[in-house]
Amino acid sequence: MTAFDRQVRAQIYRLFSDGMTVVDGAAMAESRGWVAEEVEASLDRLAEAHLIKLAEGSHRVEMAHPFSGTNTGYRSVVGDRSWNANCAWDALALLAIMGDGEAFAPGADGDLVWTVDDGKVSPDGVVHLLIPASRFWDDIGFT
Amino acid sequence: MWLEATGSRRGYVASVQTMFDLSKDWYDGRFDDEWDPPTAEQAEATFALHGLTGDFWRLS
Repeated sequence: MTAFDRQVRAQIYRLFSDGMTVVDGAAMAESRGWVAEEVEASLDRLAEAHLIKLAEGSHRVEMAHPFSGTNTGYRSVVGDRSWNANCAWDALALLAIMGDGEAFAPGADGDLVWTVDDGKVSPDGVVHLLIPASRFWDDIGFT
Repeated sequence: MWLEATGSRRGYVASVQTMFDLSKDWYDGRFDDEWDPPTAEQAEATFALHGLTGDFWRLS
């Protein structure tokens, strides 16, 4: 990873955590005064390295785990702030990063909701991971 | 029921507390420029800290 790629990768996380929902080459460039074409080339390298996923045919960040650039139905709320997640694990992971709050996962009969208070998750529940770790990135959208 | 409906095979079932606790370690430092992705061995060690072992969690 080049020094610039490191800065771009970290900036993606800062923008998502600040509440930006559409994080793309243009937004990234504007946020730091970078050249858009250089940012886009960096985004391509980061996607190739499986550090992010870009939306098909674009330079919009679709996944920077646990953040999602898409409204998937999975989400996390801390106070008056909220973020989209990619899956149930990521909804919990967002709270691990951002602080105590609520994680939401769509269910057959409405949202499942977990509350994290001082690092303790309630109610008890399970996450079902379908794809083994070694194949997470074979089809990260499905994973 | 969902597995039957989708024709999927059972994967790994972990408690929400385990996945939350794993995430604390997994995403540590992720906002820093200096962060490096873990090697397969480092990732497996992090999984193992939370009791996540076996073929499902093997990367190397």
